[in-house]
Amino acid sequence: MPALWAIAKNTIAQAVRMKVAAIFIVLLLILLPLMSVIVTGDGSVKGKLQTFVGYGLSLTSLLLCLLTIIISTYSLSSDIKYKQIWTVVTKPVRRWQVMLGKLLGIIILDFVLLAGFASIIYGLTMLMPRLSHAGPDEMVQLENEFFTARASVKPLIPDVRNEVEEAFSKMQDQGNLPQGMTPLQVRQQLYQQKMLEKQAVPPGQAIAWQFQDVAVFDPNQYIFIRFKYDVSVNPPNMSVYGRWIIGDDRQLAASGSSLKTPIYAPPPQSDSIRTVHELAVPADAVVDGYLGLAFQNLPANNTVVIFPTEDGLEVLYKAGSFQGNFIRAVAVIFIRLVFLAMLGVSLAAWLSFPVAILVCLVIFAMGSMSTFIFESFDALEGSGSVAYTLILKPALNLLPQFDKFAPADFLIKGQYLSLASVLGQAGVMIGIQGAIVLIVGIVIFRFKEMAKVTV
Amino acid sequence: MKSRDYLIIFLCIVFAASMLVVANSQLGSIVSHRKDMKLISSAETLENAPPSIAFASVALGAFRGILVDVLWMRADNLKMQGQFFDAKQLAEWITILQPRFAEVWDFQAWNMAYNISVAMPATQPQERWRWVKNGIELLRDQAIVKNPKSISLYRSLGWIYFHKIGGVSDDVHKYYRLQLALAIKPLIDPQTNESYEKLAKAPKTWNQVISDPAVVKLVNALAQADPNMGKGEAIAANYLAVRAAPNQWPKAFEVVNRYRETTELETFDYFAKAHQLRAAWKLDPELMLELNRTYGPIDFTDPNLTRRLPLNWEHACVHSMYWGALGLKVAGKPGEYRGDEVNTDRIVFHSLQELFRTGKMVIYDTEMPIDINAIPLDQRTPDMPTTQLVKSIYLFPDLRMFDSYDRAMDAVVDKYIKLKDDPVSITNGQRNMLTNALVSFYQGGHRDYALKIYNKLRRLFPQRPEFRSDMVTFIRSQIKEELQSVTIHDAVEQIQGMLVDSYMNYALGNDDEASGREQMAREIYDVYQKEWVTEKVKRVDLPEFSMMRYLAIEAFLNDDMYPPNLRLNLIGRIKLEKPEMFKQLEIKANQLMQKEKEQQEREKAQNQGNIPDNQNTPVP
Repeated sequence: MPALWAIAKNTIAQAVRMKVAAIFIVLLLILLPLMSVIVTGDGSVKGKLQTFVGYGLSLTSLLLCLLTIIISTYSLSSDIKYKQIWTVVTKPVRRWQVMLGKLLGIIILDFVLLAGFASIIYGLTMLMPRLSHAGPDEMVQLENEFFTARASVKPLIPDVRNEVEEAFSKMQDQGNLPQGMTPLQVRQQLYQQKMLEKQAVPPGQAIAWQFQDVAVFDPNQYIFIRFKYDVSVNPPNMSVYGRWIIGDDRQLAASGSSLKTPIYAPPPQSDSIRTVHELAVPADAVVDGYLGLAFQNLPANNTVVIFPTEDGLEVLYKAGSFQGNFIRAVAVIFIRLVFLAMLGVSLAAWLSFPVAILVCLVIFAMGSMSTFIFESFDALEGSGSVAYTLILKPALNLLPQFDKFAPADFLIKGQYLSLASVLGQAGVMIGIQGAIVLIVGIVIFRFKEMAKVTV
Repeated sequence: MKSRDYLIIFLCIVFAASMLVVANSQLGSIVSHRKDMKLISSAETLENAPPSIAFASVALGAFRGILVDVLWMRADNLKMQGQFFDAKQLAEWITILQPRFAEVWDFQAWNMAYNISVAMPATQPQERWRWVKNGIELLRDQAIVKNPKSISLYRSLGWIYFHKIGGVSDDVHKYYRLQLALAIKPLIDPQTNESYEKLAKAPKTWNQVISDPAVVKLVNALAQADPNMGKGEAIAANYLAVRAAPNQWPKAFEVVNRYRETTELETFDYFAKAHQLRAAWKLDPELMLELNRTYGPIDFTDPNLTRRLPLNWEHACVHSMYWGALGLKVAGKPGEYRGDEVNTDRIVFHSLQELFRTGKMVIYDTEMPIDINAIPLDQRTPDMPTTQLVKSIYLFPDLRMFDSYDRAMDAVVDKYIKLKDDPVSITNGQRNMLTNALVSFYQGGHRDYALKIYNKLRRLFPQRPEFRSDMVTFIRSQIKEELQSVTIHDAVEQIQGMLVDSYMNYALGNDDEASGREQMAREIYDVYQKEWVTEKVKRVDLPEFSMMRYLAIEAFLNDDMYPPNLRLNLIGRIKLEKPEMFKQLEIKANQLMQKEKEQQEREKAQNQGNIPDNQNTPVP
């Protein structure tokens, strides 16, 4: 352990001496306060805060990721190149201890820098409403929509498999299977049709959902119904008139009894299609974690309203504080830095600095675009490619997916980032992906020839 | 190196050089294609470009394209997620990176004014208005300034004013009109020809205005009275704030009062207003005056019908006309009639048309219920008010604009005839326009003017048989045509509606129009009775006309859509001019007066700041 700590201390000292580290630190120290002044967002205080937090955290994450890659790849590879490693490997220090010591030093440095810059961002975020002279209405809006952590509950995806199979069998019996389509493709199309039927509301009709486990802290607060309409035929004004009813609908089933808890029915409103909207409702509509929700497609609309599975409907409620969410978001960034440090140290053990940093940067770039890459390659799966399914897909799964969990997005939307998801990400990125990479690096480093034997 | 290596190197160099020559030979046609597809920026150098544009163009080099793509994708992704907080910032950055592409500015402005604004709920009109303003400001304050020769930008800006604010497609279009009117009103009052001339002649720079020693004394007095007045040009902007909210600037207002009726105050006043029009609104008072003189409404009190009144600059369509006219003036090519020119021309023409149809605006205070659900639970109290005063806007046709509208139509017809082989569609449109105007003038009681229009119809369309009869016969035939498929209920509704309209105009003091409407109602009544009612068949006859008039008054007085003070106006006039009818309506009058009193008390409380009134705050 003392060896580990000694190597870590040396690594930190080495990093601090690097000019690139100083440049990155100075850059952040200048840009973050400057950003807090120049960003305007959409002109509102909330927009300004969202823009600042979004760009501030993203910039901090990007620069610290780059710094981590540079330091982790340079530290060990320079020791090897300039033969300083000889003074270490001749000591009773195991090779894995050298690597872990390097890793520990970089992690400590990342922790200190990230904590410092995150504190600056947090401080400026808390100060900005006052500096922008936000009015009382704006402060209320900020409390409800930004300085909060709202958990989300989505409706259960209906299970239409039996209906799909029934329809498929019927088509097969009647000999109506489309030409040129495989059974899998036919089933997929039937599945989409059945799902659409479950999510579509013809004019004059209504649809209802039930939500469980809506854990509201304070009934005096608000919950938010976040919805997005899609339509079969575009209305002339690109808007739909709808009526929402929110509350415990179980009370209505008991005939003759008066309502014990409120059921809210805001006046019908017109909302634009294919755009996300939010409807605020007092939280006392939720009873013991249960919330009933109904939507009526008013007859005047003359078009079928569809709620897309992915983002058609969700209920948001306050589940935590902004401060807790901010800390967890920073933890997500820290997890990325740890992974990149593991990757850099591992690659530097057997690659030269230029090659190691290039590989790291490529993996970092791919990790930042992982969603795009996966979506692009998913088309191969659809065409039944065995090579993709057996070889490429498992390899892609080893890639880190930085953009899947963008911490800034949670803070911008006021969305709750749970500890479980953070720990899960840590488990995957550090516990599995990082560990695999590190072990490979340690094994290679263990058997690497540091110097030629000359006789 | 071996001789073989030298040979390979030599061949590679020759190959590379030949490729360069071939590539260079293609350059001419590539540049030409880029010009045709409008993919190159203007020939202006970066010498006078703002630092941000110069930096972005030079420092980023080839990476500028990639960065632009990233920004566009981010903007699109955020839009799909319903996140608009970054839209304005992204639009600004994209336009910094692509400053010379008019389409980029156009798209971003349209995106904000149309797509993003309607993403805000209709229950938050102030949020929608903010995005519409963002779109306007992007075009007005940045795009046109950086691309003054791009006519499409003027057209787009005009379109936002004409369609988004002046049209009815948006649920909260009335809110937009109101905000525009309230914001510009302090800068253009008293809205007379003289005041616009003074605005146009007002000093353009601070140095010019302080060359007058008397004005300098006034400025110094203002600055000394309140340190918040600031220095230099800032005093002009703050002076307007003093006039708008004297309670908040008591000491400065005292100075203004002291200098009331003096020449220096008037000079400074007009300078401040003109300065604000130029700086904030980007409106040139000289062009405003020119447009007033060219397109202003005719003054019907002028026996020669040649004197023009100022345009109603509180109306969105006047602004759309301004930007269209400016675009044609600055960026138009008179010898050519390109697509962009045609569209910009149309903005001017359609603006005049709309001003004819809805050019008169009346802004009233009305009482509206407060949406209790919009107030947080912890802020609700048992004795909180359930209604609040809001400003409402009513639009009426402005017959005085017909002359300008008509001349614009003539100009369009002339252009069409020169450019197109078959002008039938446009002349049909002109005929319909003149026919509708004829009926409007007749209904409005302007018989002489109506006759002038009818004579024009006869002159332009001599072959049409319907114009061979006299004017009154023609109008009656028009009414008869409309009534052919009308049931008794429709007829009652039409007559009732026209009578209510008449009493509203009467309450507003538009006696001519009131009289015209009532006469029109009478004529419809007569035509209907003549066509459908016989001695034998009285099944579908209408009530007595006097009864219908009384019912219409009742309907108007009982309709809460009309503000109480408007209805009281009507009762006041009836009391003076028709006392016997007034007796019957006295009870109603008492009820309305009580309501008016309560409204005044609430207004007083609002002005003292006791009740928040965020709907009435004009946005500069």
